[in-house]
Amino acid sequence: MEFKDYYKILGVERSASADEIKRAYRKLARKYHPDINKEPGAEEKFKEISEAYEVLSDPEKRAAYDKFGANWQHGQEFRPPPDWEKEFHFAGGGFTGADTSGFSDFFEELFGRARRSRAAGGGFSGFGFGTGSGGIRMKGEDVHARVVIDLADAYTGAERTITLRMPEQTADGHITYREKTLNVRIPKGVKEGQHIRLKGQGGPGIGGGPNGDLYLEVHFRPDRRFRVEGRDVYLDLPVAPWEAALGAKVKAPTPTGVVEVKIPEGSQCGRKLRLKGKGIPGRTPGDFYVVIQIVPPPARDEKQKQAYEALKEAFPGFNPRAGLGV
Amino acid sequence: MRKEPIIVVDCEIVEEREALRLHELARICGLPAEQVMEFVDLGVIEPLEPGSIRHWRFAASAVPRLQRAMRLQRDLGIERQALALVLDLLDEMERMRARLARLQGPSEA
Repeated sequence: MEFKDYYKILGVERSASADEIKRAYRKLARKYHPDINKEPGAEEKFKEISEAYEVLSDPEKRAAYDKFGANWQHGQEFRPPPDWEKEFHFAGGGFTGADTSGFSDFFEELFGRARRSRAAGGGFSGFGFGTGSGGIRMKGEDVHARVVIDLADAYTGAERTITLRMPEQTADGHITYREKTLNVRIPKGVKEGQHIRLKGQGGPGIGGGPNGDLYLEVHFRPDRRFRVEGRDVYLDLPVAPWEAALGAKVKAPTPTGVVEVKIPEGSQCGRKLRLKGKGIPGRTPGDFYVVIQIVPPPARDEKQKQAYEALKEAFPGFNPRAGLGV
Repeated sequence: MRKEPIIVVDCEIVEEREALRLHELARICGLPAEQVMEFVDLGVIEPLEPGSIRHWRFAASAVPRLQRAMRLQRDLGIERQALALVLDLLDEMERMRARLARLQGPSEA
């Protein structure tokens, strides 16, 4: 396991005050928050920042972390001291309330107890209370989780196996965890950000009450070929200048396979061709748009250069910058 | 940790529903109904038709918007009063970025 230098991650001195740490976190969080920054890698960076802040903003965790001293390097191989669990008890739950699901092994190993108790407090607040205390009957808590699917899965539907950690109360009143594995049939036509409900798969009911439900928030695995807007899917399709000028039948990838697209004669760069109903299925299915991108071939040898010369001669009055007034 | 066998589950897409009632929206977002009402007061989400709370219905798009507001509040400490404005600006930014991407053509990746 690699050592995490949380001070380095937030860009603060080891002597930084609580306010300085908060300001550094807020500044980085504004930059990398996945709701604001959609660039690849931003989400991972944000998780790293949140993890650092979870530790450094909690006086208890910070004090424990500081005991390792300043000699550890970020990324250095690390094992927690054997007496760690005895010495520190992080049973007080999470400090910042951040979503800790993506935190590192380093965090899990050192402060995992807090995370585990928080998992119980987040999805299952109130779980365990009331059992055996005079016939209280309560519906189990709803559980929320994320599921990542490919765009193609939204076209065809998919089966995904997901594993959840569920709290369970033992006979003597302790909370233990068990892994629950669900094989989920994701219906076709699901859109990015939508939720699917799995009835009765949430937290256990109390005193004979019904189970809660499990809600899965759907996200698409990024695919650099396609852009998705609602149910519409866009593809930028590179074509040769002669294919655009003369018209052609060319192959184009779609999330579910290769199709042949007819490029109309005289197509300009940016022209959109609509494949009606070939977007994400639904009551009103989306469309699939092919956006033409003209790619000129590089002129490498004499013959190819001559071909460009011939083109130049064939279009003596052509000014691609006419629209710029020059 | 105890393991248990795999269970096969069918599920429904929540947002395919025509409209969500207040308590349904609250459940999906894991919030008490009172807090959802607060978000309505702040302009973060709006019922489809104005009227008494008992008859409130919300479009499915209220779910991601409300959850985004909750994340922004939790992770960035954005003031409650500023949430609706921040969400509107982020929506506007995304619309413009999508438009820009369409106009610019292939992304460099």
